[in-house]
Amino acid sequence: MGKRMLTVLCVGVLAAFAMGLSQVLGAVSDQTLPSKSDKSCLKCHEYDKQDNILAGKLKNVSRKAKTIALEIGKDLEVVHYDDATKLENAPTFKKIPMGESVRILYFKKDGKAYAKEVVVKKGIEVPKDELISAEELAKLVAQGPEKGKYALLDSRPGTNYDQGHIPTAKKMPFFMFDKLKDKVLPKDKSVLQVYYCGGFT
Amino acid sequence: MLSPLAARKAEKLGYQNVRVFHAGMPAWKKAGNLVVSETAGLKRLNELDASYILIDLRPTGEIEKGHIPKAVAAPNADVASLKDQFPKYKKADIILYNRNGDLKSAAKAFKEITGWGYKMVSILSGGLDAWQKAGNKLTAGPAESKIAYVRKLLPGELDVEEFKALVLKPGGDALILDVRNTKETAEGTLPNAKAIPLEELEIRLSDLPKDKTIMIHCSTGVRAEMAHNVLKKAGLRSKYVNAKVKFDKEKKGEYTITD
Repeated sequence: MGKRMLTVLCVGVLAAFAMGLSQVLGAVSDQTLPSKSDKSCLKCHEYDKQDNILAGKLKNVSRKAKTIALEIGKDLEVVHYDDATKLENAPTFKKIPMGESVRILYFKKDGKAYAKEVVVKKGIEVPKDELISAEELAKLVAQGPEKGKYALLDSRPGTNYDQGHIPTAKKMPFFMFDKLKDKVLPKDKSVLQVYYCGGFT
Repeated sequence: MLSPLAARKAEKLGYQNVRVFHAGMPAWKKAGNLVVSETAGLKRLNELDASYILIDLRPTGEIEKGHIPKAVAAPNADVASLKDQFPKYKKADIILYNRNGDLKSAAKAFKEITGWGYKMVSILSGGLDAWQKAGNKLTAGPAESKIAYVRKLLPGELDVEEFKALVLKPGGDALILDVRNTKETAEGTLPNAKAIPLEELEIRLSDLPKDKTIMIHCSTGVRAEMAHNVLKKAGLRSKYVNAKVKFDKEKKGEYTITD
């Protein structure tokens, strides 16, 4: 590493500390606006330590008005977009699935919130050989757990399970996993286990 | 997104044969497969005082001996005879049950109803037996003869019929606001409606009265709901209607409002 580069890097790091790291990362034009995030986003992201972020679940998109509505906790945040808005992980705004986790970098102009960047949450990669299709699963379910030799586990919150689940599935909310594992999971470690939830959200 | 995380946990515990049905519940339903619900879910709907449709698929004689309260009869599982009583709202909770939760005999009714486009249909796990076993009461005598489903309005939502009445007889403290874009409003607007496109709403807040309740519509309800949230934040009183508002391109002034 050249001496000059090192200097630049040091200055950069110093500047970052001086301004507060969040401001460097979150700066949009020259505005500093408060971030607002859904609780579920803050489990893995520190948006509360950054500025100009709106993070929540997509409620809907109006192509006619060019607006995005995000559900953040009990509130609905309406943000405008235009051709300059950068969109990541979705082909078009209208194609972002409803309920998907979305992060918006925003600024304000004339009292309107504008999206500079819209980032759709990327799903966790599951190795291909670990996936099971709806058809394969339906075949197993038709046989039943005994004949099909499987355990089907529903990772969604318990209320979702009660409202409607796949036949033969056991209630195994992800956040109760450690508590329930001895009671719900099969004793035999070689038995096929299939996990499912509410899809790619 | 929880299932891959759960699978990882299972692998850590030493399970060797773990798979993930990644597309999950939405894909399962879309493929036309059966969905099962629990007694606890039905009880929760009651506790929330939510509207739902409960259909007893057993023969009339059995139904009269005792059925789950609020159930509507579809004797011999013939749900087609009830079709015209179903609500327009496709996300209505619809629960089917028989005596013991047998899926095979309930499958036909389930597929028929999902075939009409209803998205929240389920078969009660364990049926009437499970309901009773959980300590819940039955009602004797004939079941309800008609489906009585009333969709609960969401916070800030205005009933479509109320909105229609308001359009016909404006006044009071209500002001109708149309948030469609200028291209759309050029085809027509409702009588006495004020038009401000959603894209301009924040910069034209001063055009709106503070002493009135602003009743918002668009062409479907999507933008109206967004506009409601913009106005709420600005401290203005408003409601929005989830209605399809269409204007006749040929006959000026002709319109239809449907839910």
